[in-house]
Amino acid sequence: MQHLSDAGIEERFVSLHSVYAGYNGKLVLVDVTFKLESPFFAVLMGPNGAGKTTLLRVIIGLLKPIKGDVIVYGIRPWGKPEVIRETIGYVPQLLLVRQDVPVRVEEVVAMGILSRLPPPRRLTKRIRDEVSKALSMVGLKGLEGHLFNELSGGQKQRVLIARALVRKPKLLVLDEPCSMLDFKARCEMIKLLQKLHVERGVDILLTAHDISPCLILEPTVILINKRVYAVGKLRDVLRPETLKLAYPSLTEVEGAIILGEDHVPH
Amino acid sequence: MFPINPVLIPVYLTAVLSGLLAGSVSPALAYSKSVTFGITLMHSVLAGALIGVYLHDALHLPVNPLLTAVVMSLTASLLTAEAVARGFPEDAAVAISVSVSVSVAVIMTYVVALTTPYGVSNAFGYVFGVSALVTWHDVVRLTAVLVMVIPLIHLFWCEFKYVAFDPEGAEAMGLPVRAYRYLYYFTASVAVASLAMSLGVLLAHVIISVPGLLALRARSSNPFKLSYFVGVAVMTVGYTLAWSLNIPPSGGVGILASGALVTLLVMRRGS
Repeated sequence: MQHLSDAGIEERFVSLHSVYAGYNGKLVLVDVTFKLESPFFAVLMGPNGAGKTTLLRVIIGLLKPIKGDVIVYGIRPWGKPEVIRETIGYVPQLLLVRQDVPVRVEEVVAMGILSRLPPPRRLTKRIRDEVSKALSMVGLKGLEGHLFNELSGGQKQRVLIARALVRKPKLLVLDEPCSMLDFKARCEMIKLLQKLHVERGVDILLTAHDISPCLILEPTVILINKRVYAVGKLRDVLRPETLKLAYPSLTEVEGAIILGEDHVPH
Repeated sequence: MFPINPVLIPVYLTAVLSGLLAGSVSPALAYSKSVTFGITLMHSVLAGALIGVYLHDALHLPVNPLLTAVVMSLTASLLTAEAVARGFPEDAAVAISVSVSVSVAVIMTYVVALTTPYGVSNAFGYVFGVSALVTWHDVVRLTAVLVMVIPLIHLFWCEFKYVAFDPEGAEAMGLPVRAYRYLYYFTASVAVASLAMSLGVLLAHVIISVPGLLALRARSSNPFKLSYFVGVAVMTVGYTLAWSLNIPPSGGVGILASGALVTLLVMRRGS
């Protein structure tokens, strides 16, 4: 990306250094430090309330950290929000999207482009073509005219990914892209993300509770529960002794580990 | 040719204009799940009208109750917008705003009753509606509001809808979500206040929700054709019905609009 070319070596990294963040004076993230070197496929893992979404919001510049430094490919998200928006494609939790609003698939994806333009924001042929291309990438070509709320959970998630892709991001940040999907759909979702990562060189950072569909990819795992407990390759992080730190109610049974959802007391 | 009663010309023009105004703003309210907000704005219109009546009738100041009603409605909508921007859910923000408005209305009812003999009945004229007594002045006022509201709604419809659909995604893509919320609340409050002052708060309650809810029910991505049609049809047919049955115009419109809402309810149950 041309606007990043003068950022030096830092342009290869997404790095957080001693980040503290929270809401209304309550800390959700404490002393979070890690560094991801592009190309990466990373999974943010932790129990409910661990601060995964908050961490994503800090990285994409929607939440300013109370303390610490965030650098995304050489850019501080709060310093240059307009550049960071072009660099990162964000896919929010499907749960946060109001699905009773009748919006066509084409309109949802087009907003990825239209949001860059001043009003009046109207669909043109060029934008429609871009939308079709993005939908093809996620395997939904031909669904342009369908209503978003008539699609399956997996298709909805793909539409949101297409909306992010239409902006041609370097990093795709996804909040629980596999939630509300059955196992087969989760595997297909991860396969799609892997394809985007390998074929289009898009870095991937996603949050997940169940990373079993990702196992084959050997992703970088960031284990978090308010603070970062481990960062590394899957086999190094997913050890009972490490998991116990982030999941206090972890239970070991013969041949399996059950991850509890209890929060670390804040 | 039917002879046209000249008294009816401004009445029907007001009906058409009110239908168009409701048709324009109602989808934005329905799609943003803000119908309750639109309806509760009426309380602030009443509070504002009471303040205006007090200033005009008791203090003999040259203040038009319409102006104070609009100002109060805008204040309530900005209060709601600010509360939402500070993280309150919209229903809680509406509750805060309506509490303030109702408190002001109750206090002003007491003050006006103490100081002017007909003040309270004047103010409540806005509640029950004066749609049979509209003048050319109302027609001009509604036209002016329409000229402002309709272009704003259509220019920013895409953004209003998108902010309602996915506020976090919109913000992440750089849309000024907070500014659009303010603009939306401002537009809605001007339209609602104007409708309430022309039709009465009770009738405006009904007409503000029906077109948008029907369009939402029809799952239309572009709801305006239907909402304009429903708005104008309910208003004009309702007036004619009232004329034929010799009941107040608000009653005729209320019957039709309530019928449409009941039909909507039956459609929802049946689906």
